[in-house]
Amino acid sequence: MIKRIKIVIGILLICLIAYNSVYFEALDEKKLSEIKEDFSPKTFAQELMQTQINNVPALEASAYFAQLDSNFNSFTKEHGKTLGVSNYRYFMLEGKGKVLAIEDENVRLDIEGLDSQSILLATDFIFGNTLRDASGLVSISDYANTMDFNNISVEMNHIVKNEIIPPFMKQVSEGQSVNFKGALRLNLEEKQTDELRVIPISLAITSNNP
Amino acid sequence: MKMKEKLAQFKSIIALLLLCIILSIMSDKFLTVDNAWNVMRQISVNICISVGMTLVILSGGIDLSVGSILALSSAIAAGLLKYGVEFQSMNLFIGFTLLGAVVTGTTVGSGLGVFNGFMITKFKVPPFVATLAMLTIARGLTMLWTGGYPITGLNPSFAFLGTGWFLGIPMPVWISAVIVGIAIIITNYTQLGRYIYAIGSNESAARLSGIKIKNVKVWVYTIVGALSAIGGLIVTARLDSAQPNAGLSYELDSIAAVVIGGTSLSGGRGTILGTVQGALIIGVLNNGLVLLNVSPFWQQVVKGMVILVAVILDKASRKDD
Repeated sequence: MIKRIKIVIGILLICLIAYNSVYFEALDEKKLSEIKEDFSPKTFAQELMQTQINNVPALEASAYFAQLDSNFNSFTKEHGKTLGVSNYRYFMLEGKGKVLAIEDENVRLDIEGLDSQSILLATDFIFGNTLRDASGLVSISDYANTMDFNNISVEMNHIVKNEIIPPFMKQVSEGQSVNFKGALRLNLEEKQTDELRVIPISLAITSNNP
Repeated sequence: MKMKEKLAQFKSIIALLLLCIILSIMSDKFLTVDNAWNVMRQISVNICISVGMTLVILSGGIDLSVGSILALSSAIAAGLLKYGVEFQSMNLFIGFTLLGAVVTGTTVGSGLGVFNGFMITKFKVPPFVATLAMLTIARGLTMLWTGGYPITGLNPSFAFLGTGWFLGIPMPVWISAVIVGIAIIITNYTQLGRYIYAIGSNESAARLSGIKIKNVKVWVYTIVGALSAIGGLIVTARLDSAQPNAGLSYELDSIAAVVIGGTSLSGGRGTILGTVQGALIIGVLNNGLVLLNVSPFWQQVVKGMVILVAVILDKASRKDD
């Protein structure tokens, strides 16, 4: 008797699970009513780059490097952005500099107002999450999956590479002055303050060759 | 109880504490709440698999297919959840709810475990060979099912299993804690648990005493298959993506956790809590090495050395017994 009760309960349980596990639809109706409202990283990144990222406050480059030299730990802690536990801090930076050299992957810029402090404006091989994380506009907690979150970076980098850099590269030459705003990543362990690579979000040539 | 015996009994906990103290001194990021949860989330998958692996090893066997079973079952669950099943000729679409995907994934894992158990008991294939074959079969099937591409963009409620919190504790930790609790009850308070220890200690004696060895072994491989599938569901939920190469080398991590936790590779001796401690040691070690910026190549060397030392110490303590 007890065995029978166990079997009946078992069958009822299986039926209950099965009932709550699947649902049925007519295939043609489903395909008709299927409206894709997927998140589009491309559209989202375009919106960010066109309307929001230029309003993100940036640190002035000469002041930034002066602070790094004198006050590295507390300055990076206070002003650097980061995701979770990491040795990297991300910054938005703006400033003016003179073009020292045009290299394969970067334009080397001598920062105005500082003695021999140069940065590299990235013009090729723009990868990673520097721009997204330095902007502080995108929070991982807003995304159900890391794929969408990371694809925002891919699209932002794509816009920089295809829309911001090409017009600049057509005009730039050594000796020119350039106003720039961009994102950079700093490794707290290495404390490297020269040869820092900035992903540009705006570039303007302000003077021609001297 | 002598001091030496007491130390031997708590050697895994002592090793874990020592490791935590050393890492706390070497990295200021180690002893933080965020990092602690991070470690717990990361090891929860290994705990799920290692608990199953403990049962297998306690019974005198081994299962090398856990990583591949994890990948296949999670890929099938993710595929069904996202795409359902279409029957063109019948104009019918069968969609799977979250429960359906979880149940199907776990059933697939259990089924593969049954297959392993059947091969080992019916055809007398050594567990090493049978599960090695399953490692390749399941990985191949995963590639066929996914086409070699990840299945992404799953149901947000599914992601909750991997990224959600309940009562201030991450869901993967809850899941692994429940599994550990059930496994402790099975090993300590059920007939199946006693049979597993008996078979691992002396299979001939167990057979002569009337234990249905084949049934017990099939049960053990079924359980490890199901737990691998649950581990796979957690991984998939955390990443919101079923990766065709998920679970690579997970078998080694789980065996390492079992061995470091003091379970004898020849079977019959070991505990679930020991395995949990082993998984914690591996997880903390992995986390610490990353925080200390140790090269991934050196991380593998260190992990291998730790396993060797654990086995040597275990052997030495048994000699003393």
